[in-house]
Amino acid sequence: MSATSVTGLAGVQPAPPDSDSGPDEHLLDLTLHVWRQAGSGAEGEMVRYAAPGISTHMSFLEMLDVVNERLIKEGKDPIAFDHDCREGICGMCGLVINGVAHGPQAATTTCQLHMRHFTDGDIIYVEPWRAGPFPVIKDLIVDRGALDRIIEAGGFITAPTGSAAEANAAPVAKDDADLAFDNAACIGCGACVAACPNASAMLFTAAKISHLAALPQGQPEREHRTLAMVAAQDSLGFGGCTNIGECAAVCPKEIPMESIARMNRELLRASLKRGRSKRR
Amino acid sequence: MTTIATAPATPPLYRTSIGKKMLMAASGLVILLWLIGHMLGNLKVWLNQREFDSYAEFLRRLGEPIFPHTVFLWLIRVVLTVAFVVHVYLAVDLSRRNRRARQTRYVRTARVQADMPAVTMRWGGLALALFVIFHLANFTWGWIHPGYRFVRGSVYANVVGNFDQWWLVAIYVAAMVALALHIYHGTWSIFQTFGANSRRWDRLIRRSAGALAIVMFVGFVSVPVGVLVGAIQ
Ligand code: HEM
Ligand code: SF4
Ligand code: FES
Repeated sequence: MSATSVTGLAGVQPAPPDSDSGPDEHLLDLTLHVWRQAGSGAEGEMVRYAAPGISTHMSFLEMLDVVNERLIKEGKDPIAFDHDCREGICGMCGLVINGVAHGPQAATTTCQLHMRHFTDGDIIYVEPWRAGPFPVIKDLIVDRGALDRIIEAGGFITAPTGSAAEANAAPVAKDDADLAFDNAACIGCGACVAACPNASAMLFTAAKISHLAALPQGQPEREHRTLAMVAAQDSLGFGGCTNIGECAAVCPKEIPMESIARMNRELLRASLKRGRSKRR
Repeated sequence: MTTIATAPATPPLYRTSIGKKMLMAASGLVILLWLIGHMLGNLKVWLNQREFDSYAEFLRRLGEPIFPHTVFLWLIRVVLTVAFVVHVYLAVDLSRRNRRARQTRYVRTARVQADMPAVTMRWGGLALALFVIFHLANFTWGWIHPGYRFVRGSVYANVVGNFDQWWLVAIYVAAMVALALHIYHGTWSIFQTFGANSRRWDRLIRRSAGALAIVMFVGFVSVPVGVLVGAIQ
């Protein structure tokens, strides 16, 4: 994770010193075009909403909260969207804002995107993640259970539960620890899938495989994990990688394309090893 | 540490989307290596008619005396044809999977960083497939020879006759633009797909792929343009 990613607790961390985050509050008059869809089987459509008087201090989700309060007062159905921590760590939020997953600011989740990155009079298109394996539940909420299915296929280590093992019992080299941590930073938000022209989950799967392959705890199941997770993402209907790189560009945790190359290498390695053990 | 007792069967490498990409990369590499040879061979047009026609003859003798006359040339042709078939078949297969994965399209789309070569692989590849057929009909089978008499074996005369026409030059230059884009993204992709890329090497690999694409473009295009401007007669 780079030092510039804004993932701290709002209000606890001092405001970063960049020019657009100063104390001056402005009010913006915005126009939203939001995807409304009653349920997973229903037809959806873009609906236009006027959103006047939005503070530049609000986060994108707080802006939607305000719009929703107004809708509720008018007796209308509020816009459904996913969120939980609102501090960039849980991976629940995620909107495609003007065609970009998580919006215009790099390395930032939707909940951490602030309205100061927009200007008065802006027209903002808000859509859900769109991918076959992510069916819409309602409006902007999609079912990302497919990512859980990939994890269930092998994105874990099988260890007896009980008291935690002594931390220093399995020494990890600094470089390996850094590599594992960089990849473990993936919060499973699914922006990579949303941004990929092929709705591929390669960056997500690659982050998990890279994370565990770098650590001693991940070794016993290393080959099987790779084979099983790759098979799972294929069978769930995600697309394949065409090395375009939009995933890494929108990833709020800056998982790099390098991780996909590593997953490819791991798959090659696992396949060769399996071939050898079969012949034995 | 216990391991999973009942590991479910996983498909063989060539059945996975990644394995298919590796086959695309491998077949693309075969075609690319052949194209490099083809481009260098074409440059002999710049020497003189005798050199170039004897180069065409040399290709037929290639591999002798281990292989009989033209056998090695046919071997190359078979390998190349297999590579093309594999490459195009998998391009269609993977593209269909990718389309199926995103059936509902975005109302608004924006590209954050994707470059033109990366997003034109499908259409550019299709254009190249059509060009390959045209090219064979043009110089190998001799079906298309507007404004000159095609003589099998008189390679030099055929080339000069062909590229005296500006519109044929235009077709070839356009196809080589498509080729350069395909080679740039394809060459970089070979490293990425086989897992030989990393943050450390990425820039060097990209630049080398770009340099290769430019060299291939200039090398190929020099011949039709050379004829058109009268430098090759
Ligand atoms: C015959 C017509 C062709 C078609 C329809 C075609 C199509 C494609 C497609 C759809 C891809 C995948 C693109 C991606 O993953 O983004 C691709 C990749 C590639 N192509 Fe072609 N192509 C053709 C000819 C060629 C030629 C002439 C070359 C040689 C220069 C070539 C070399 C490559 C390479 C090296 C890759 C990269 C494979 C990888 O992703 O690792 N292709 N092609
Ligand atoms: S790789 Fe990045 S974009 Fe994809 S799920 Fe993980 S954090 Fe989200
Ligand atoms: S709501 Fe938790 S990451 Fe945005």
